[in-house]
Amino acid sequence: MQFKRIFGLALAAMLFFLLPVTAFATQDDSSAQLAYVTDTANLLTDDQQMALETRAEELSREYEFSIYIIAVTNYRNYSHETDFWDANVDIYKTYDLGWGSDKAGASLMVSTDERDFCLHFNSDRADYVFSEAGRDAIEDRIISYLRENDYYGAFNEYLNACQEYLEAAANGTPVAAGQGSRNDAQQKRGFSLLFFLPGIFLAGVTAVVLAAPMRSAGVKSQADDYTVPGSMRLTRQSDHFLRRTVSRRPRQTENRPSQGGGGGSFTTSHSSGSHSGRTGKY
Amino acid sequence: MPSEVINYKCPACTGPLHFGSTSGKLECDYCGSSYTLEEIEALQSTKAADAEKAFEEAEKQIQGDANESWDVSQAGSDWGADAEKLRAYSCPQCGAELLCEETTAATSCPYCGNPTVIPGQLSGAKKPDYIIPFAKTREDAVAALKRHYSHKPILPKAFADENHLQEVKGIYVPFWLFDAKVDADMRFDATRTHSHTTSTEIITETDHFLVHRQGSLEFEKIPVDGASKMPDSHMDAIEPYHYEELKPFQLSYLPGFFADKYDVSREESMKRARLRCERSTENAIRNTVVGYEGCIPTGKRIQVHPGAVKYALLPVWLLSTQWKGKNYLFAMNGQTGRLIGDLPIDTRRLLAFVGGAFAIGTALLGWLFL
Repeated sequence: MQFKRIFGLALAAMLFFLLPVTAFATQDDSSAQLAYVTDTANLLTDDQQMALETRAEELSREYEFSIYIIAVTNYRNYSHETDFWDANVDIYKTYDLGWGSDKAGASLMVSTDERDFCLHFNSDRADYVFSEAGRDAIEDRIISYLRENDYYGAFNEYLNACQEYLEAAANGTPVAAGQGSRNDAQQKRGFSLLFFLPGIFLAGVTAVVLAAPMRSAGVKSQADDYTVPGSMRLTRQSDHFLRRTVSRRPRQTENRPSQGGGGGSFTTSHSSGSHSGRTGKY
Repeated sequence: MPSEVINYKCPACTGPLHFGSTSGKLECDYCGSSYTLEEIEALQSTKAADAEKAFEEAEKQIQGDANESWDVSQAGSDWGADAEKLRAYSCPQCGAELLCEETTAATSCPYCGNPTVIPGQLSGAKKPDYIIPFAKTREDAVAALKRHYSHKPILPKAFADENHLQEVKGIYVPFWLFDAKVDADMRFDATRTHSHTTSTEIITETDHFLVHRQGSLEFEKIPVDGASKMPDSHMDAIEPYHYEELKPFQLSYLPGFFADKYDVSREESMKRARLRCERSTENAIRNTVVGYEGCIPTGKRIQVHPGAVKYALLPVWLLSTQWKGKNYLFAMNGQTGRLIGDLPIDTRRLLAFVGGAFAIGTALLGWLFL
């Protein structure tokens, strides 16, 4: 019995340490040591995982650019790094992910415990295929699925986006190339609006100023001109406190330099060496 | 059948007298004489009976002659239902038959221009309590309309240049004047909001208060026009009238102007007066709720205590014109000179101005930042 218990504990300890590695088992790709789709958080059914895996592999092979999807319950179980972004980079390096000598690839990682997500890109090719604006668009496309806990939907949409971007880049016209980041795009849109705003405002004021005097007839709904002076009497007045309502909203802090994700998620952009991307909450 | 009409003749030259807006007297355009209302009323009382008799005899004579000379059996047809809405009168100046609407109380003869009063329409229970005499003349009204046209860049140029007034009429419009006291009991959800920030959050605290106000407000002589053919939008827009110049009604004020009797009853008009004083009371009560950022009415009980109702004739100049087949009606307060009336818009000019403003605004910003 004693032996059995010790053996059981030893097996459990071994499984605990080895399972992540098993889950991150190397697949048939020449450079990657992880499957294209890794789901240790059990967010996907077998069929879903298979479908995603097949598609990610096909894309990776077609464009020679690795596309990964990694779903974990807590990223700290797979990296010594405590920061989510650093953990992503660490995992990418540790498992030798990416295609070819430049380790070109992109990964989407979700860590469900704290509802973190990370879009990670590596190599100059990745920067060419996925511009900042393109990354903004991908984030926008997947974030709504993630918020609904529709992980398959999010991952599938991620692959859709990657396919579009890779195809466009292969055709020499990367999506949103030259359009800058979402912030830039927003600034541009804002600037465009701002640019026309004075004109619109001035046009509106002009229309009102010119048209208002053309309509001077109108039925009166009040009789203020006919009140008897001094006849206003307040016979009763009271003001009773009823209740207090408190609303709280998060304050944007300085270590979250850019806000995105459409209404509530905070995204931080990162860049270190050939690695770039963004992390955020969903 | 012709009924009794009254006009005022100059005692000096027998020319027609009309009420002078400026002098406040009855004036003769022919010899320049002017008389106070009292002087003319005294003379008129003796002459009116003689004039009536003479014209009735003359009319009978004319009718008799016509019947003897012509076959009138097929001349014209029966008025039918329209007869109830029309009245016929004889002009005491030239004898012409005047056909008026049943509500017309004063008019002028289209043949001799003689100002005529039809006292039957204003007698008895329908006699007005008050009148505000015209203080503005026809010339004032025309000048005011020209001013109304000016400084309106999107008014079609042809409208102002080629436009000819079709009619300028000084009309004493019947108004009901309502007194009322309104009690109001209102409750509001009022809020005060204050925010503060911590290192991680922006916290907004909203204090809600139940605010209760009870009070009353009195109104005096809220005017509601009693003539259905007068557009309410025009009659309301030329308000207010200054009641310090309200005078007891006298027929002598009418010559030279048109006058209508009411055809909208007090009861019907009361609804509008009630609505107006209710709204004003609500606003007055609402304005006593101060010191809050938000204030939403959550309950109200408004009670109108009707007071006296008076009947008055108030002076209005009506100016009408046509342009591109559409009638444009302007009304001027005959006491204060306030003129209102909708004008046509030259869409092309409006778009040009709006486009120009847009271009200037955009160019200005471009010049500043680029």
